[in-house]
Amino acid sequence: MMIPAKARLKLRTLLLAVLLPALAGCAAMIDPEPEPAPEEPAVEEPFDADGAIRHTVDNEAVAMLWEQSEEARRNEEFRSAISALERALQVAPEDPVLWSRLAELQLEQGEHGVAENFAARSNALAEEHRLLRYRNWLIIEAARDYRGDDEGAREARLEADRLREGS
Amino acid sequence: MLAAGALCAYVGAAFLILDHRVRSDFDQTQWRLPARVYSQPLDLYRGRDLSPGVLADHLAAVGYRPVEVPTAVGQFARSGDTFRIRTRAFEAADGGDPARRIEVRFAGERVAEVRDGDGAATLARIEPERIASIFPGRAEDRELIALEDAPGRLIDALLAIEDRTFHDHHGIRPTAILRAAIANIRAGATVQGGSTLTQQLAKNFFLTGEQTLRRKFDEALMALSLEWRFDKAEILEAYLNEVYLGQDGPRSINGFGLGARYWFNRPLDELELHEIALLVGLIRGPSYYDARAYPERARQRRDVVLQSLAETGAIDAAAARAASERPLDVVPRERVRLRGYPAYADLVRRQLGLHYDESDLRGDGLRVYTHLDPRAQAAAEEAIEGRLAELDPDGDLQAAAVIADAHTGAVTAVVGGRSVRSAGFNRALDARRQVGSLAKPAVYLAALAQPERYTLATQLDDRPFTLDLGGGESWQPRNFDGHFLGELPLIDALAQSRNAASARLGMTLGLETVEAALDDLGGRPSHGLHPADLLGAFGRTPLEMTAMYQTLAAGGFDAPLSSIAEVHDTRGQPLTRHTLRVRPAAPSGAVFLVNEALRETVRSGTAQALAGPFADRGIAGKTGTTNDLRDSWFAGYDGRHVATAWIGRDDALPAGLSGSAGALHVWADMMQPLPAAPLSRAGAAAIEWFRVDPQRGRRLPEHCSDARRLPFLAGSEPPYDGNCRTREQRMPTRP
Repeated sequence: MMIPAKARLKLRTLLLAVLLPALAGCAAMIDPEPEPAPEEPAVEEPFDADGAIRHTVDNEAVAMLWEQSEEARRNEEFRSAISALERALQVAPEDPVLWSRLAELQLEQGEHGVAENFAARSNALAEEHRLLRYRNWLIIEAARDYRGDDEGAREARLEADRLREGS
Repeated sequence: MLAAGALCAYVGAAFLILDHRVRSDFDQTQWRLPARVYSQPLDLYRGRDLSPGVLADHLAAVGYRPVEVPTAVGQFARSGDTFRIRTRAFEAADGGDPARRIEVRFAGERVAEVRDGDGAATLARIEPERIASIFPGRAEDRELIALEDAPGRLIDALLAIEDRTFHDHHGIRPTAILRAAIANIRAGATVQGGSTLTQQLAKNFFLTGEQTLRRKFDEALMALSLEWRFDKAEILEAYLNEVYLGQDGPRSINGFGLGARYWFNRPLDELELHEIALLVGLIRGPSYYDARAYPERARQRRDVVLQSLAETGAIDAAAARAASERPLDVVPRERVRLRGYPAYADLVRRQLGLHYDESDLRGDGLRVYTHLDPRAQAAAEEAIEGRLAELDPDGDLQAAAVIADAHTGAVTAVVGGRSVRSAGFNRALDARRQVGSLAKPAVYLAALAQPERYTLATQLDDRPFTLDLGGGESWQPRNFDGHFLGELPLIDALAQSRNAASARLGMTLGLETVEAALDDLGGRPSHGLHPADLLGAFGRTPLEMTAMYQTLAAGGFDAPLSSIAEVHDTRGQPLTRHTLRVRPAAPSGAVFLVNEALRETVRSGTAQALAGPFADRGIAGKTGTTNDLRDSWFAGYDGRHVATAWIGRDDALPAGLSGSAGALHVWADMMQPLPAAPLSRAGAAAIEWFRVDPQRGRRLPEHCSDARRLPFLAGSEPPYDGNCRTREQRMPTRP
């Protein structure tokens, strides 16, 4: 399915804004001195400063699979990227960051329904992980947007805004 | 002249009849390549909850050979808890892995480290076990091979010893037949064969084993017909898959694929020269040359094959000599796993039919990657075999079990009956039996989804209860123990499986509300809900109940139960991807509360027998018993697996077992060896824990140590009371 270029761009920007701090936390497990992120996030100050997204990976296997997935994603091998994360879920089935990342990959694959469900799964596990839930609601908003569910997208946006404002 | 004409007419008519048979029979089974079905690969990573025994079993199952120093792929060396392995390259659902050198060290029941050839920490996998070869549309399980997959040495040896002129004749060798006939006449009986491979195929494929002239005649005509209709490659391939190579009880071992497994427990393409020669030598008489019973005879026969290979120049004399100095290397029968997993393969076959286009499945040589976990499957099989032998040595009872991943719905084990390796009625998929109290969590989910009305501390009424069904009929649910307990907290009503309290609760909520909750869990009966369905009067299969409990296990997220990870075509390209699917199906917060009640079931309720053995695992589960003890159910889960066990009789007569007396024990036996994980914490964000006095309906200070501590959806907790004093708790004594 074709994703309107404009909508895609918007989504990318928003996701990157909240993703990169999270990913840095994950990558740090493998590499004590992570490379600076290749793309500067379009920083929206409050989230970056918050630092609440911490993907604490105490599992080496999850960290390695995450890296594999990221590598595949950079090479646009989305199937491999998804497979690696699904393998990571075997190790850590209730890791909300894994579910959220899978949601995003599915969104890029045009699997909007799957993406929304994965984001909801992540939300149910994210507890106090406010920024992660914010990000999940953005994914849900985008998924509903692509499906033409304007009302649903608006509701998702409200949820996201609520989280963004820290309530 | 007339006699010659009659003979010609006779031969012609016989040929036509046999030719018709050749066409209909042989063409039907024309060797379309079957789909190969694989288990999960075995993942190895630091910290994994896995014992060295599981790795050793998996290596044996996929035919790795123990050696001092691994020098070739498919070999491993074990010293204590450290394994050095030369892994094979393999394909898998996600693309697979290359061949690697790895070292795996265990510390107790855990993987302590995994290192690659350079000593760096790594993730590794051992290839999946091939568990079956199936024709997607047919109920058959054979290990078929394609001609191009057959080792060259095998063909060389076969032709050298059985039929050196195979590529030149037209099905029969008149001179050989003549020579055999003369020898037979001299001996006064049939002693000499002289059959071509084509004749042998005809014999194996169509005819009985009797040795008569008439049979030899038919065989020759059929051989001619085969050669006329099919080319040499097709005939050779059919021969490779038909040839009789042994007898395993009632099952005959046909074909080199199965033969390699039966005698060496390895894939055919991994056999060495001396092993191939042994297999080929068996053709003349698998029971006479039985390498387990008569190793010396088998050795001599093997060496004859090697010699004849050298005569044809396919190998040189030195190679023949070297091979004949090798031991037989046949593995003991008990180490061979021949029958695969028929109940699991059955599920795979059906889900292939459901989720893939028939036209895609018609392709040759599909590879089906499944979620079967040999460890879970073995645990389920052993649990059923062991418990059934103990509960019912005479064999009237039947059983079934399903294990799945709690979060992804990946089905890891299926057992369809107490004869765990026999194909046949697959009770896990087809025995639709009344579920009894296994349905109750839906009633309580419906209640707890209304936090303004119901919490775990809400007092329910377990006094006798009569429902007017209209038309002069009424329904009065009875409790299993024959007693009524009066008022008790909702959590205990579910944990102790109180029928009167549950039915009354269900009627108060309304059948439609409960029906909706059952629907959320994927367990709604096809008809509209009747009052008796509140207590599980409707029928479900063990697989369906596993699906229902999976939603609870995953905190309200439904993941369809699936056996198939992915299907690849011959070129390794995936057919439509069968990706992970989850769907929010029930409110996570309410599910969290139901899960807590089902934990209470294990702590103090009807599944109390599990409290000891699973003390540190925090499992949740539910017993189910139907009228007159016809069905004994248990469904339960932790944060990793969800599993269901059922025991009952095929004729639906009373089995004499309650859920807690029968299925619970099977469930416990199969879950105990599996790695554990804490229950899902989905929805936990909406939960707060409080000390309460359910009878007074009051929240108490935290220091009131003898008060119940229960989870509540935030805001639904009862009003606060600073006074610790609780009224005497009426704890029912019966589990």
